[in-house]
Amino acid sequence: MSRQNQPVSNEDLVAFADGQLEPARERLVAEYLHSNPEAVHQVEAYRQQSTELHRLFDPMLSAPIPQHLLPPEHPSFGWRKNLAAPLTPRWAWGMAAAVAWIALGATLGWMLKAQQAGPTEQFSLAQQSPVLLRQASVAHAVYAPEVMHPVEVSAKDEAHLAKWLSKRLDKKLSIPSFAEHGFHLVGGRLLPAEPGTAAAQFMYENKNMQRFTLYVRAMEKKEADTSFRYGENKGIGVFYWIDRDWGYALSGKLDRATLLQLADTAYRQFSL
Amino acid sequence: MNPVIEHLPRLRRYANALTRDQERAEDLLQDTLERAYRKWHLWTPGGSLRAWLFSIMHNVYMNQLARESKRPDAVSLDEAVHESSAGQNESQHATRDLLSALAKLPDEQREVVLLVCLEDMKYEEVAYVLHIPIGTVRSRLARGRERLRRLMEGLPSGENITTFKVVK
Repeated sequence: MSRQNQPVSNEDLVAFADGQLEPARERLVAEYLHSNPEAVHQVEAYRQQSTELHRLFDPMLSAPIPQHLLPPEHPSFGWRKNLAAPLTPRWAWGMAAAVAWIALGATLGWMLKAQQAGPTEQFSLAQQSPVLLRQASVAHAVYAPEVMHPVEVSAKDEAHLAKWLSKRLDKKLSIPSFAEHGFHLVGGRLLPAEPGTAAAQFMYENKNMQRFTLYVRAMEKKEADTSFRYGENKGIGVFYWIDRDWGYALSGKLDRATLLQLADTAYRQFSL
Repeated sequence: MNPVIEHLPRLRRYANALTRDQERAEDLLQDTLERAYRKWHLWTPGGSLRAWLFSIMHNVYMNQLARESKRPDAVSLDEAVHESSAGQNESQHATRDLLSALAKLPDEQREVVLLVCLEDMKYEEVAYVLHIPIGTVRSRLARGRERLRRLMEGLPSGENITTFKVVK
């Protein structure tokens, strides 16, 4: 082979370090290394890079996969543009697998989170500035603990509430039901979002007096649709998404799996 | 069990190494999986599912980078300044050195380096994942790793140094 006669290059040294040279060439490089201590040092440095990268990032392999990244009947997998396409059975993820992952997650805890929480994370949060996450969680924090006046219009005037907020937001709003999850509507209110833009907040409660809120507002036209995103603000978990210029956020101090189920239910009813 | 699930931890590790930011990495992983699902019918059973998934992640990542570079207020992925000022005292620490050196690589080199060194892929597989000829894989890899080495050893970048050595 003509390659046999070529001088040993850096590419050869790298491939040698990776054990990815063809045997003949490998022998040649090995021979070359005998008389070139500097090249030996290079090969060692290249191997050290691999070792070090594994040491840095391998802990990630055993860290729990966040629940919203898991694919069991997950709305973020294909719901956006693929609603019409039927799910292939092999993609109908076994719930058992999901439960196993969640259990693993609970057992191992947020090793990774603890390890990585720091300036980088805060930095990127501020940088991304998910307006929905911020506004919805702030609105939740203000009104969810309210005992006397949690809502402007209570659930007994549900029809009026829907009509009023539909008019103010200029969007036909039907108020989703979460009865299947044991939550009933408390009521709703109108909130400012941006100058000239209003938001609606619906509040729900279960028999243990746990509450979550659903926040809806128009987004700027340039915002692309997104899949479910999860974020937290001062202990309030928020699933939020954008669908055809409308932003939705579901907030609560509930565990993430519950919030995800609720968000899924909300999404399905809003997209009808 | 769905065949994709066994690849999730590795995809996630790669996303984290690529972005070095947990939140970004999760977005990347989520968008990748979403696209993989939408394009599931394009995957040929019998092929390497791992390579297929990594190749989707590469495409998604490239799109994200392109989108960010168009945004006027985009902050560079590679906060080299941030890294070096934060860690003066422990700059000798290998971890910090490797991370900051990694941040200084061009994206195209970083991807090849991570796929080979961290994901232990064969060069052929990397070529498939990145849609580039295998010769390009070899040369990018060699340049990337030599640059990493020089950064970590405090040597000049060596862009103008010839990489060929004459066999005696």
